[in-house]
Formats: sequence, structure tokens, C-alpha cells
Amino acid sequence: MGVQYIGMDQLPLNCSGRIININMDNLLKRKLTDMGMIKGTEFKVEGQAPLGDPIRINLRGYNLAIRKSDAKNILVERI
Amino acid sequence: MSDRTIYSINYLAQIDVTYIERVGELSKDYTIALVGNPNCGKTSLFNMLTGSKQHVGNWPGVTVERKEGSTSYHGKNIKVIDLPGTYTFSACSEDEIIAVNYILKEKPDAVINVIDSGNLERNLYLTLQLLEMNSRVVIALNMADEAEKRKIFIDKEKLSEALSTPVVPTIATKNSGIQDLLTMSINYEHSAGGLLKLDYGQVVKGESSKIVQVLLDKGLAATETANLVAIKLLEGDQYFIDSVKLKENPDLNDMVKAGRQRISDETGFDPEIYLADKRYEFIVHLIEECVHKDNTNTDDLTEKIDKIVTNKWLGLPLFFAIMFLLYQITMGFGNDFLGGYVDSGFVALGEYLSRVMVNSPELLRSFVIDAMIGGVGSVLVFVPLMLTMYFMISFLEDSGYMARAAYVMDKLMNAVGLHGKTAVSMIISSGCNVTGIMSTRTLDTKKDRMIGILISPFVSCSARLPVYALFSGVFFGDQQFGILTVSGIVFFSLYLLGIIVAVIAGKVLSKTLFKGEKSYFIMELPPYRIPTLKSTLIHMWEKTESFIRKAGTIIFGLVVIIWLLSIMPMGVEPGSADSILGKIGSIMAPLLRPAGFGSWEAAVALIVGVGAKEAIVATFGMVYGAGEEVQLASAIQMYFTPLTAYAFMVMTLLYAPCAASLGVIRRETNSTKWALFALFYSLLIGWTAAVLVYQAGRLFGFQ
Ligand SMILES: Nc1nc2c(ncn2[C@@H]2O[C@H](COP(=O)(O)OP(=O)(O)O)[C@@H](O)[C@H]2O)c(=O)[nH]1
Repeated sequence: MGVQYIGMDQLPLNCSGRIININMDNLLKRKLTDMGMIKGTEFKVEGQAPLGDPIRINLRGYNLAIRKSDAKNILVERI
Repeated sequence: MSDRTIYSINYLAQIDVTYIERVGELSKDYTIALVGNPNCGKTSLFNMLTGSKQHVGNWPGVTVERKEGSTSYHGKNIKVIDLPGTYTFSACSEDEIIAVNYILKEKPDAVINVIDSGNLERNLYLTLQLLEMNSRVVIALNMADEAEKRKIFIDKEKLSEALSTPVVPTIATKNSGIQDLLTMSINYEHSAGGLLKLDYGQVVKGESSKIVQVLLDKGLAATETANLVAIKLLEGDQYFIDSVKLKENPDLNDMVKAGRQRISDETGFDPEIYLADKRYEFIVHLIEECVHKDNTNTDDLTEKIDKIVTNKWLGLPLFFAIMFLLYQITMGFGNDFLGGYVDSGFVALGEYLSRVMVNSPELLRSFVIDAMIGGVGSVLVFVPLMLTMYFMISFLEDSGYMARAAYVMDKLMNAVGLHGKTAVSMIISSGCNVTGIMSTRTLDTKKDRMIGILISPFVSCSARLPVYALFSGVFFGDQQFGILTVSGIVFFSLYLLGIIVAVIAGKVLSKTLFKGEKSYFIMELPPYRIPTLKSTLIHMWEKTESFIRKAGTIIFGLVVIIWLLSIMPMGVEPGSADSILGKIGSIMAPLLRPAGFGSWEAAVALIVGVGAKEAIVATFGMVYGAGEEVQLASAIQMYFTPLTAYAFMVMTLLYAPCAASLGVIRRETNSTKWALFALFYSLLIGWTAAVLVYQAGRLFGFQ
């Protein structure tokens, strides 16, 4: 078996990952792309809200909060 | 005049930059536009540039704020426009369309691009898009102090050369570099046609040059901008698709379609993703060349604060504690203490005028004292509350906490179909519904925004307090329930009821009218920063002023109308059952009978209350013909029972958004229909709730 791809929401805290694919409608995908989330972008899961959702990731030097239900549509690879 | 040597790193076409001393030739309406990402310090920079000389309005047709100010340079007046903060110019949101449209159509004389030095990678994305559209850009490398503290060294010469545009380091909060920035913006000009041309690779180049040819042949774009338009068409940018009327040019349309297909086939990406990727690739390359970081440690302080503020156990209690404090200070200091002065000021003014005008005609005296003083007064008593609340909210917003508040609350809110940011607007609504409704602007999707707007009026605001105070004072004043006062329990139960109704309404709306519409939570959590007093004060005043303007005119207008109704037809005892107002009340009264307060007086008070809820108390005073507080209390005691009093309070809480809220709902939704919907659905809910309270109470044996 090669590398496993998982939803971004599956990545444990303090783990880094790389974006493989974003399966969202065009508008949202565009928004994320413009904010620097593109295939190949590396990021790290740095925290989560008190109730476990949303999560906080760091990419391109800034912090982004994203709901797990949105994050699950972002396919990532753990690195 | 002096020339500069330009290096061009291999991605860029070479562009000449020339320096011209232009002070002498400045036109009278020289305009500089500010653009930048959210949280880059753009507002602070705008405040430093323009000081108090600013004006806030709206962009035509939309609810996006339009901020304009002026500054002077060697005695000449310079206009400064603050465009909405955006991450991109892809023209997907209202904000982006406004910014793009302004830059392309209004053609400002210069554009200042404010960027956060500590967050270059993402900030430069907008910069590249801007340089592709406009050739008179100056970059403000803001937050220079933070970058230094975090040991991020930026070679600004190199950056400037690579982008062929001037770069000026600034610290907006310390007013440092601002004058240099202004000088640079005015005196630098790139040679004509100097738009940035990024190299997007062979495929894009091939496709875009074909499109450029057609655009030029058909006269759809000027020589300087044809390449930009071609790229944007390939990117599927709606703004440009509309501006060249792509649908009406079938051959061009086909060509763009084919071009997009080719790009997808050859690169394996959608064209817009591919182009974004190329831009970021270029930026990463640029940063490697121009930026040197001494350590990998990002932001210690923010990290530490977030450890506490978003902590698993502390996060929520802290949120509630901060909001409780916000509310307490707003009410205690703003409303009771400061507002008390304004209130007694107006009472004194009214008394003084009635003494002075003792010999004036009755009608004139009544107009001045009841309508004018009453009307202006009922708006102005809210100003201290607004100022206090907005001072704290501005502070929390600018410091970066509000983003965390939404983050911390999102899960809880989402469980009932609401958005994290709605928690914040509900808290703000507890000061004043109008401000709560206005604060829903920060919500991204239509669904979240509409729901936020429609449920805000259920939250108990400060204007309802006098009504609660009157009734619970009369009926529950000195009773104790254990260690709690019954009045306290009554107040609390009404607040809770408001929130519960708002949440249920939100849940129902999201499952019915807005069913299937999407909502998402994708939000930057900016670093914590200490806001400056100046920015906080300006922010506070801006918001308060917009309240006074929006709510003020509506409330004042209504107070005058109601006054007119209360004195007509001529000759009746003002506010009596024979006046038009009293007649309307008599017609409405039977409708209120199931709720236990079916008198024409209560009906009139409620009608007036749609104008402004705090006016309900004064109306009771008028219709019961009672001037003094004591008399009013005994009148209330005569006409109400504890049960009907409670039902009446529930009605006051829920029955209708006040006129100012309705006006703001109409403005924010851009639709009269939604405002009417808000009015009627809350009338229904309020009435039902009051009837339920009364009928259930009777079942339990109360009167
Ligand atoms: N240290 C530092 N803080 C700044 C600077 N410019 C702005 N800030 C702070 O950054 C926060 C966000 O600034 P603001 O002007 O509201 O950003 P905007 O969202 O771009 O309008 C505020 O707390 C400012 O006080 C700067 O140059 N240095």
C-alpha cells in the first residue's frame, strides 16, 4: 500500500499534512485557493475549539479556523 | 527626474519606474485608494493618514461600508478612499467586486497596498493581482515593528525591484513611515502600460495571446489592459465576463471555453486553481529571495494567549465572562450612569421649556415638549450606551478576540443551525437590536446573515428595560424568593426567553426558509494585537454616529407621527380614547384580550412601542393621564394583575422589532419584503407567547 489520503478533519492535533485535493463547490474552493490552500500546500493542525470543532490550522504563516464538516472535504496526506 | 535600474527576476517582464516631482501638477481631486487583506492594519493606516477628517457611508446599492477621508500634502488636499479589506480580487463577494470596480473604473491616481510584513506570503497574493490591474501601486510594508520583533528581515530594495513598484516600511499604530508613504504615492509613477505580466507558462501564454488578439480586433479592451482581460477571462472571473459581455460574443466565448479546456487538460488543474498556484509559486520564490527569517518560532504571545482563550475548559467560561462583563459595563456605566445624566438633562429641559412657554399656544408647547424633546431625547438617551458598548466591542475586535469568540462558540451555535459569529451579534443585540443587526455584516453566507438579522430582534435590548422595570417594580418590587428578588427572576426569565425564542426561530428558519443553503466556517485567526486608543475611539464614534443617523431619523419621525395621531382630531384631550390614536387602540384591543390586557390603553402603548419600545412607559403615563411615577404605578396596579403584567412584558419583548430595527433590516437585506416578514412573524410569535403565558397562568389559578 502506498500513502494513505485522509480528510483534513482526521489529522490528529500537532500533525502536519499536505493538501491533495479540495472537494468543494467552486465558490468555497476558490476562497480557499485564494487564501493559499492549493494542492501541495503544507499545513499543521495546531488546535481545536473547546468543543472540538472547528479546528485551527497553520498554513503559509497564518492561522485559519475551519469547521470539521468543511475540513473533511479536503483530502490530505500526512507528512 | 531620475531613473532607477530595475532588476527583473526571470518571471517578470521588465517595467520602467520613473520618478517625477508632481507636487506642482496635482489635480484638485487627487485620489489615493487603500487596499489590503483583512487585519493588515489598513484601518489604522487610514486613520493615521486622514485623522478625524473622514466620512463613512455606503457603496451604492450594497451594505458595504464606504470610508472616505482626506489628508494634505504640501498644502494640497488629497482624497483617500479605504476599499474593503479582501484576500483576493476574484470578484466573488460584494467586497471584492467593489474593490475591483473602483480600481478599474474610477482609476484612483495612486493605490496603496497595505501588507502585513509578518504574513507576506498570503498578503502578496493580493499584491500580485493588484499589480496586474493597476500600474500606480505603492506597497506599505506595515507592521514593520512586529516583523522586527519576530526576526523577519525583509529586503525591501529587492522586493521593490522584483515587483517594480515602490515599497515603504510603515508602523501604522506609531504613525511611522506614513509621510514617506504619502510622498512616494504622489511622486512615483510608472510608465504607461506598466501592468505586471506574470509568466503563467506556455499554455496560458498561447491561449491568452489568441484572446488578446480578438479583444483588440473587436475593440473590447484597450491595448494596456487586453492581457489582463484575457487572463481574467481564462480564470473565469465573473466581473470581466460581464464587462466584455462574453455571452454576446459567441466566438470569443468559444475561444475562452476552449482555452480553459486546454489549460485543464495540459496542467491537470482547473484554470483558476492553476493560475492561483502559479501566483503562489512566484510568491514563494520571491520570499526566498527577499525574506530572511532568523528563527522558525512564529508568534509566542498569540500562541500563549490562545492556549488560555481557546482552552478546552477555559474557552467557553471565558467567553461568557467577557460577554457578561461587556453587558454589565454597558448597562451599569453606559446606560444607567451616563445615560441617566442625558435622561435627567432632557427631563429638566422639558420642565424648563414648559415653564418658559407657559404663555405659548397649547399646541406649540405640546409639539416642542412632547414631540421634539421627546423624540430627540428618546434617541439621545441611547448614545452613552452605544458609546460604551462600541468602545469595548471595537477593542475586542481590533485586539483579535472577536475572531476567537466566534471560533469558541461555533460548535454550540452550529448545533442549532447557527454560526459562531451569530453568538457575538446576539450579545451585541442585548445592548441594542439595531447594532446587533448591523453586526451581522461580518457573516459570509447569505443564510447565516439572513438568520442572524431575523433573530436579533428577539434578544432583549436595553429599550425594553424601562418596561420591565415599571411592571416588576409595581407587582414584584419587594418580594423575595429565597435569596433572590422576584424582580430579578422576572428580568432574567425575560432575557432567557428572548434568547430561547431567537435560537428556536433560528433553528426553524434554517430548516425551512433557508433549508439546503450552505453555511461554512472558514476564518482567519489574526495575531493578538494591542489596539490604539485613537483607532478604538474613531471606530466607536463611527458606529455610534451611524446608529444616530439610521435609528435617529426613524425614531424621531415616528415619535412625531404618533404625537400627531394623539392630538387629532383637533380639540380632543391629547392621548384620550377620542383621539385617532385612542380609536386605533380601541380597534386593536379585542385582539389582545386572549392575552389578558385587552384595554385600548395597552393597545396604544404597544402601537407606540413599535416606534420605540422605551416609549411604552411614557405612553402609559399619557393615556392614564398620570404625570407622576406614583400615580402611574397605582394606575398600572388598577388595570393589570401580576399575570397580565408578565404576559404584557413577554409581549413587549417579542412582539415586533422596533421601527429602527425594521428600517435597518430593510436596509441590510435590501428588501422591504424581509422587513415586513420580520414584523409579521414576530407579531405572531409575540402574541402567541403572551396568550400562552396568560392562558397557562389561568389554568394554574392566577388571575
Ligand atoms: N504592532 C503593530 N500593530 C498594528 C500595526 N498596524 C495596525 N496594528 C494593529 O493591528 C490590529 C488590526 O488593525 P486594523 O487597522 O484594524 O486592521 P484592518 O483589519 O486591516 O483594518 C489593530 O489592533 C491595530 O492596532 C503596526 O504597524 N504595528
